[in-house]
Amino acid sequence: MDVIVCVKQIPDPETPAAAFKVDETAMQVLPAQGISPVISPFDAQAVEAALRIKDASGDGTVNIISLGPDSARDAIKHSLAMGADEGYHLKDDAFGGGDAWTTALALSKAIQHLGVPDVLIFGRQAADWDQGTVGSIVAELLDLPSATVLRAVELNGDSITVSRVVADGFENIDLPTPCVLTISNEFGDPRYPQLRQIMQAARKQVTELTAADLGLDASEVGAAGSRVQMHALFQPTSDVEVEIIEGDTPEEKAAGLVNALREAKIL
Amino acid sequence: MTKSAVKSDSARRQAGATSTGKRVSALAIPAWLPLGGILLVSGAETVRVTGAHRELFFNIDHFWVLYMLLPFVIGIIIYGLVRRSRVWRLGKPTSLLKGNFDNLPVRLGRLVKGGGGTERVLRDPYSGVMHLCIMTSMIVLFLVTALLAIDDYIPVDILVGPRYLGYSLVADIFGLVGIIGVAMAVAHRWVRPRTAWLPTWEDWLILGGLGMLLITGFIVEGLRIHTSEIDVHPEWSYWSPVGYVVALMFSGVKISAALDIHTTFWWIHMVGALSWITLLGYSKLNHLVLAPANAFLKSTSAPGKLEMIENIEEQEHFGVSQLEHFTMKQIFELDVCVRCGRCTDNCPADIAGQPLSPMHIIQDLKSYATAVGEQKVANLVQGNDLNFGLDDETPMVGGVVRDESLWACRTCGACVEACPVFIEHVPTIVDMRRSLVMEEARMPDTVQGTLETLERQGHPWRGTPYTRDSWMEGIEDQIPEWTGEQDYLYFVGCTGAFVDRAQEITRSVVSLLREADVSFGVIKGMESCNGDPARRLGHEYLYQILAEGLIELFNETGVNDEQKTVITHCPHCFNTFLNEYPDMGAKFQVIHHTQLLEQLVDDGRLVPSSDVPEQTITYHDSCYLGRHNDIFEAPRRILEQVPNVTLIEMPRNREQGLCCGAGGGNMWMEEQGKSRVNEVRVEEAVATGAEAACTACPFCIQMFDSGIGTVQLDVEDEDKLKVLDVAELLQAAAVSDSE
Ligand code: SF4
Ligand code: SF4
Ligand code: SF4
Repeated sequence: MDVIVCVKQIPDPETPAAAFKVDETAMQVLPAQGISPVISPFDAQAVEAALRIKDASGDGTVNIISLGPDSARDAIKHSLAMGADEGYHLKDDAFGGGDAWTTALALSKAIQHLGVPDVLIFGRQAADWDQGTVGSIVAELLDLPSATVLRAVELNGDSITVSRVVADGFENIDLPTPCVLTISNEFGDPRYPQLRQIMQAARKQVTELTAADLGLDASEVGAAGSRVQMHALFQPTSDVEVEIIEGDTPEEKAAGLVNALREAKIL
Repeated sequence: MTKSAVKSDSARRQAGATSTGKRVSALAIPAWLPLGGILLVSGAETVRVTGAHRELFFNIDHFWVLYMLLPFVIGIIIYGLVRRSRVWRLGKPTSLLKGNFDNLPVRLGRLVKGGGGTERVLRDPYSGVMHLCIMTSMIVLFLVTALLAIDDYIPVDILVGPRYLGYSLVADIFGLVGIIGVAMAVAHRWVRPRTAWLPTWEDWLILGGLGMLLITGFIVEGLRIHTSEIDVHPEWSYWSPVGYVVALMFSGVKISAALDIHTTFWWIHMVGALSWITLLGYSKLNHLVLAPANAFLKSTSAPGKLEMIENIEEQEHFGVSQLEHFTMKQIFELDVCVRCGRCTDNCPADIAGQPLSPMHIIQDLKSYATAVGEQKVANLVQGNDLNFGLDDETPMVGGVVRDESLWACRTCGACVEACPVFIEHVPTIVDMRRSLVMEEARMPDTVQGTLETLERQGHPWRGTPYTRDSWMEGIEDQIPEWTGEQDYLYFVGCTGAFVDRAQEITRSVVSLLREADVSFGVIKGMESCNGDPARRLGHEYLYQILAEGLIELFNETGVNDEQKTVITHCPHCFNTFLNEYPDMGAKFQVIHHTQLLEQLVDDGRLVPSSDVPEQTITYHDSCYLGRHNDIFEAPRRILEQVPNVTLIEMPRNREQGLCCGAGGGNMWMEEQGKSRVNEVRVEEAVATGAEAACTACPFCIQMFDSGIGTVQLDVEDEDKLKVLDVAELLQAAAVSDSE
């Protein structure tokens, strides 16, 4: 079974809050010193799901597509090290500053360019902006059935049985192929690449594709094609004030607390 | 016989024990003392006994059969050893085995002291005495026998008169000493076994055989005295006291019958001795030869140093997953193990009931090397593929040695320190971990998380809320930035930066360095892990990448210079910089904060004068500072100079110190097993009655803190054991404005 996984390189979500900085004027996240960007954890799980599908079906390929600047290549390399076959890097200045829509558009063109596979897999959301829409938009653009936020995927002959995480439990669905799946963290840990694979992946060529290669005009993608406009980017501040309620007896303290809560308009 | 002589057979008890001669040791001095005394007394007896002597082959015909057998015996032993050596040679050659011996004097010293002198066996009084008895008895009896034979074939008579009698006495005494030794060994196995003990048929065969040889030797001697000496020269036979007593026991037996029995026992004794000694090539008796050899071969670099995988990118395999991936020395070593259990008895993981016993690792690998190794040798001989006919059902790593055993190892080196035959368990264990991590990518989740954090964030503390500079908050201006001009770089390390409890230690160190006016600086914000956690966890590749990165930083900032010294308060950083970074091109000097602080106190630049409360303190040795790098006294001397402090020791201290449980990357793993190592160690500290435990390692501090939480769950907070870094205590005593 052939699978394509779309992955994204993001700032390490484990960056300590103290090291996370944004440039409010440029409306950009500043890379934290000494902390390398990583493949979005959900996407690593998507790669894991794809590799398991390939293993279970006994043949096929797992190819990786990532859209992003130079550093996105590392996310592709990581996926290759995990065991994926080929990597495609959508790299073009024109892609810069895009939103979920332009990303999905470029990805869907790339998928058509490579040939629509049996299964298309995404992480449930990129762990930086957490929008969780690209997978569904691509499904829509390619007119494919989709199932999102999956905790399990199982091959069933030519169809696929999946288990979705929903608010009050799980939902099991059968899908025909080709289809689009998005993988949730409940799926389980992605494999740690073997050193030999890391070294092989390092030597592997990653094919770069530009907007023109995909038949896209610069005005359709990136900031130019964006449908979402950002108005401000800032780090919320949270202030904690501590007031100790004095009182000689527990009753007095309780009364004091009630007054304070009233004053704060909480009661 | 050319010379007629009257003789004592006990001297020949060990006629076959030829190779014991190789272990003659000047260090077994206590055993030689009685010998000197005896010679003196015998000298005084000169007049009375002139002419005493004996015949080499008294009452024995066809003794030449013995000489015929000798080459066979030697052949059988050599065959056994050569056969084993073919398995050893499956391994990779090391520079050692190509004859490049570094530090020859150290090796020779170890050969003499540790090999011949059984230095490490003597540490345990009971086993030490037992082993010494058996060993000296075998050596003396061998020499005595050889002497008798030589005497027989040279034209001059040495063994006549008083010399002969002294000689008889020595032989008798050491025969008895041997019997005592064997009895102690048997009792040891029955009455006082070690916790990790594995006596098998080999033990009983070796001990039983030796016991029988000694006893039949005395019987033969007794019969000779009974039949030829006691009536003619009774005063001679007093010089063979044991033989004399045996002779008395036979006094009712007719001489002709006694002569027949004598012949029978003589042959039993002789053939028995020759058979017994062949065990040298086929059982753990081989330690007579292999143990001194292994003492010589043991690495002479610091015990905490791991060997680097050179040109790692070009390797066909990473670490060890097949027998032939080990070095020859590593395979050889498996055969040296005598199953004594000392390693396991000292292993923190085993003590805490966790799934690791270094003795079993060595023994299981040995069985594997025997079964699979010989098959591989056969394949080689027949020109087959090395693994021809071998199934993968029980792989060496993951089957013979289980993953959880490999992960439970703290690389603390207690096993290596305890092993009387100088086996190096740690590199063998880490080599197998290397294959788990790099080859198979099979590891506990916690290990994976740690390695990923190291790769991405350059430190092992996943989920820390801090940055590299968090510890400086509020005192930035007091911390000199490294300019390349100062003498010392204070390397804070990841733990000192990312763990809140350790940040306090970092601040104490800074405050002390400032108080003593040390010229130092800190590379702010730019440090990265030196790679030690990755290396101990088996990820050599990641270690090399991190180390290269840090060396590059040190090059750029002028740290990597013979004139500069790096201070660390983390013994793991210390060990890595000191012992492992030279392989990566490091030139700088390294000092642990306790060493520097001790100097500063000595020079009067730090004066621990202010009153710290009266307290008893026990010092816990960090493995990577103590056992691995021999720094035992510096931290203790600091503590001793702090007023009002009384230092007391836990029973396991210094070389025998027990790991806190964090080493070998276990700081970041879930422990499996009955109890946790830190709890065992905290209990030991609490049992001393000390109010505080001091240590010099940020990992140990965390392990103690968390151990106290469970061990002293019901104890009031103010009565709980306090845990301090040596620097913190010194700061309280020597820095006036410290809180
Ligand atoms: S190094 Fe320490 S933990 Fe590892 S086997 Fe030896 S004694 Fe046990
Ligand atoms: S490895 Fe050493 S300490 Fe351990 S059982 Fe063998 S000989 Fe004894
Ligand atoms: S080796 Fe030193 S720098 Fe690396 S984790 Fe340990 S404390 Fe940190």
